[in-house]
Amino acid sequence: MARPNADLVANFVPTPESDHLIERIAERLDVQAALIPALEHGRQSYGSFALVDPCSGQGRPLFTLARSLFGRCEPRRDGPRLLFYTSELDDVRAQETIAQFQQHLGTDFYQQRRHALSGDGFRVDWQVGSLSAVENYSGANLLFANPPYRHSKKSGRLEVDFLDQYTPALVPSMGGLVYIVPHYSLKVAAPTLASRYESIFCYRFPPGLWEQFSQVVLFARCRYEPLPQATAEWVAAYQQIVTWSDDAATIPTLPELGAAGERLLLPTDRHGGFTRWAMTEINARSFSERVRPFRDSDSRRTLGLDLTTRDLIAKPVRSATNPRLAMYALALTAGAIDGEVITANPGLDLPPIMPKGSFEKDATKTGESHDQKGNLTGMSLVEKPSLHMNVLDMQSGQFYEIKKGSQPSGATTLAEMSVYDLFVNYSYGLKAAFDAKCVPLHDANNPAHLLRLHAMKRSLRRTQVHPVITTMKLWATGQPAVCIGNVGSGKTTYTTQVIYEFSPDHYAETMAQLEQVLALDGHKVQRKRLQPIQNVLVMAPSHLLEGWLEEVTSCLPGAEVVFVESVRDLYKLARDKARSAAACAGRAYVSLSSPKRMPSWAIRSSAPSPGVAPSAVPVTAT
Amino acid sequence: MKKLTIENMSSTEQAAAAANPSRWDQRKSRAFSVALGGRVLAGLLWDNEPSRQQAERPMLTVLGGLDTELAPVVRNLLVGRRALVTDSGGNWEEMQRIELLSSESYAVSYDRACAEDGSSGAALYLKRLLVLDPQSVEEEVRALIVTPRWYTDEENARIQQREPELLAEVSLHLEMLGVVEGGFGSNRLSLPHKLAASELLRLIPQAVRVGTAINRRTRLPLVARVDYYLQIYLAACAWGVASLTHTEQSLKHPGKADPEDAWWWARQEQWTSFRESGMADCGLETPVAVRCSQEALKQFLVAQNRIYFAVQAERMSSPATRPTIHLVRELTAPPPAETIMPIAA
Repeated sequence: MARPNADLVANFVPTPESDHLIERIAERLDVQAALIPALEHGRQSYGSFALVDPCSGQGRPLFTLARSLFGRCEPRRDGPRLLFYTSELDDVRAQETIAQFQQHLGTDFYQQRRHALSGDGFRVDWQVGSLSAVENYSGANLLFANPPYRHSKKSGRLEVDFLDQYTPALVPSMGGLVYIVPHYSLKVAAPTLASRYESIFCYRFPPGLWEQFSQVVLFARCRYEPLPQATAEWVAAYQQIVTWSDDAATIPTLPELGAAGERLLLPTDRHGGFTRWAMTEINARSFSERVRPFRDSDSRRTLGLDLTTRDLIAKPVRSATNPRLAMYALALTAGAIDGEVITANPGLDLPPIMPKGSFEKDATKTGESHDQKGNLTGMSLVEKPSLHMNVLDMQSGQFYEIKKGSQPSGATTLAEMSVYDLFVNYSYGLKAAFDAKCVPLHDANNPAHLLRLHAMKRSLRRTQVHPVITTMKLWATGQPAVCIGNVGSGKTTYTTQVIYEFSPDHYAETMAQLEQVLALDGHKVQRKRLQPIQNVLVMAPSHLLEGWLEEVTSCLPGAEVVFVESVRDLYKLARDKARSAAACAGRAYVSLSSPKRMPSWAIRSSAPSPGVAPSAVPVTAT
Repeated sequence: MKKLTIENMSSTEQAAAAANPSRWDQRKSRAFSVALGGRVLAGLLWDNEPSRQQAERPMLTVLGGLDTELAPVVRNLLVGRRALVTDSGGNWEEMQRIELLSSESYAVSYDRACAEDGSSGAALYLKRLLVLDPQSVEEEVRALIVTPRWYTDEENARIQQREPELLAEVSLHLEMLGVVEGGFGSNRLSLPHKLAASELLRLIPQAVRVGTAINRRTRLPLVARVDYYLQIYLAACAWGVASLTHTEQSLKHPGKADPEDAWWWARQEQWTSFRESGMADCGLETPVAVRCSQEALKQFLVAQNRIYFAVQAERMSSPATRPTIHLVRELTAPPPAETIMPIAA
């Protein structure tokens, strides 16, 4: 992913012009062949030499390069006609490139004006071939590419996408490449470079510029045809490029002006150029026919496009386990039985209804403050959630707002009823609706849904068994679980039991059981998401550390519990573990505590407890 | 397609550049362009609509282009930079600039490399108005429902193949409402004219989404039936609770009958700020906006319930048209005594 701020400028990194960088690059190119005339149709001719920059920026680097190579840019009789082809994504910079065309090309500007394109380099459509008997164009003699540096889904790097796009534009066996990229992206480009180019050498930017983006300049000449992979030559080139990518210290610095160094020979066929160089526009018809907005999972969920029309009307409800009666009010507000018609209890003369509930915050006065004269000076209000219910009378089509209240009012009509009355008078229907709509993942009333749990030293209470099994099923189906309970309800024991069930020693048996039981209702166990639990990290307030220690050791006496006060303790633990790997492997609990900053702690790993018989006990429903 | 180009400098930046030109000369410009597929404006749904001199603030903008083109444009739009619409026509595009408020939360949905030339689509939408379930009930019901055509097509195909009985039920209900062209009965929803049955049935997915959006924004329970949702969709458009977007054509004579537009009556005369361009070309059905107070919605639903239950009663009285799907869950036997409340006792 590109950095957001870099995206704002399309990851544009201009080619530096300081330190005579462009001139130093030009000195590494040998274009003498283009300066020797040839006889064509009985006359001396230099032909044309095409320079391409698909990410031209403001256009200056390309023209500076051309001027350094040929001493001029405009047409003359004593050298080839220079043809410039550019494209630039940014409209302003594209205009600046056109200004460079005008400044450097003289009268040839009007011929070449159309070669400066405003738009994405990937939208450029070029063609080579013959325009007439004497006008024949074979492609680019020099590709000067300093593309945006960013990730790409296609090849991995956008720089490489540009290389792949423009390599075919080069004149085979003659076209030269000047490729300015960060050294680390060479690795991704290595297969293309090794296959499509020869005479490859690389220089890093001089000190002062190198530190900014770690850029290198790679010089290479296009091969006549691609080199097959796995040939000795390909492997050697590939390894060399990968070495440059991995270790920038192996890349020499770009030589100073006039200094010796490698040079890239650029032969020319004197027919550089393109018969067509134009920006294509988006194919509107194809776009209209094929675009399918909001197909991504986030948008589908946000816009409700992941549900069928039937499910939209009556939202399906997933329940981890059987809701308790006290949860019905909460489930009502969550829309668990939205759209369900509820009949009154037998013997009551009440219409069928469709209820809908919502929790709303009501401000409740909790105190007042007065001054010495007894005048009210302040009032404290607390927002308390209260259940609001509206029902639709399915006989008359009328809406009724049900009055609040947790006491019987004796009302016999919907208009007078309180929430209490409604729950009592429609209890059968509500229960039936909840049973039908909220099908639990773990049905505590169904003996086939039970699992055999492994015995810890401290056995589970009956009320803890179903939460443990529910958690195991949630995890097995790739869902998280949250256990909420009062102080002393056994949350620690419950957690320890769940960990114990998925410990390496019991994992296989537990998963086999889960697969068998969950398959009854068509659920699949997601084994990839639930591996054997080796380490458990528990975070808790620091004052509970000792309590956790006692709880865990009383459940699993052989387990090792370690408090971790700082990262140093983790290193120490790792050292200890390395010393006695056999003793500690799979047997250590690690707890983490950082009381000075965030009160917290953690546990790690579960293990069979020495001294505790690993026998399984049958579990019955509570 | 129109072209959307990020403005190189905001007015603040222009002032800063004028004060210190040398510094701003070195600045990287941001004048990137993509194709503008379409956009939806819904000034009536929020309080952030600018004056005419300022830029438009679309709730939904669909862009097309290569990923390299889309990335900088989308990013610049999301940070609040204005963009210029060029090659545009029509009267209501006088401003020719659009912007997304950086203070709002927009989501971006990409459809990568969807076109033959490798172009992708990007839909930028205002989450709080387009989200189907806002998770809370506000004093005023406001929603913008945009349904992609792929969803409509998939759902219609699914219903036709797997739920023919549902189609029969809905068809019968529409007939009895008197809104089907060539059908019997008086037009109970007071639509200006009757509509073809096939056209009405094709609306099921869209109507259900509109009904669901209303259901999630009110405390009142809605009858959970497809025929009811289709009824309230038609009635909401006819009675001014909801509106389809205005188009360039409909804005010429808002509220007036247009022989070329069978749905002219569903584009509310007062809601001219709710308009779109290019949605059909971006694979989207006509957007629908809902706006009314909770009280007005209640009155509307009560009236619709009356009509709906009257139709149901008529159907129940005639064996030929008796519903095959029962509204009420049959209780064959009461649950065992030990599993029954009393909850509050």
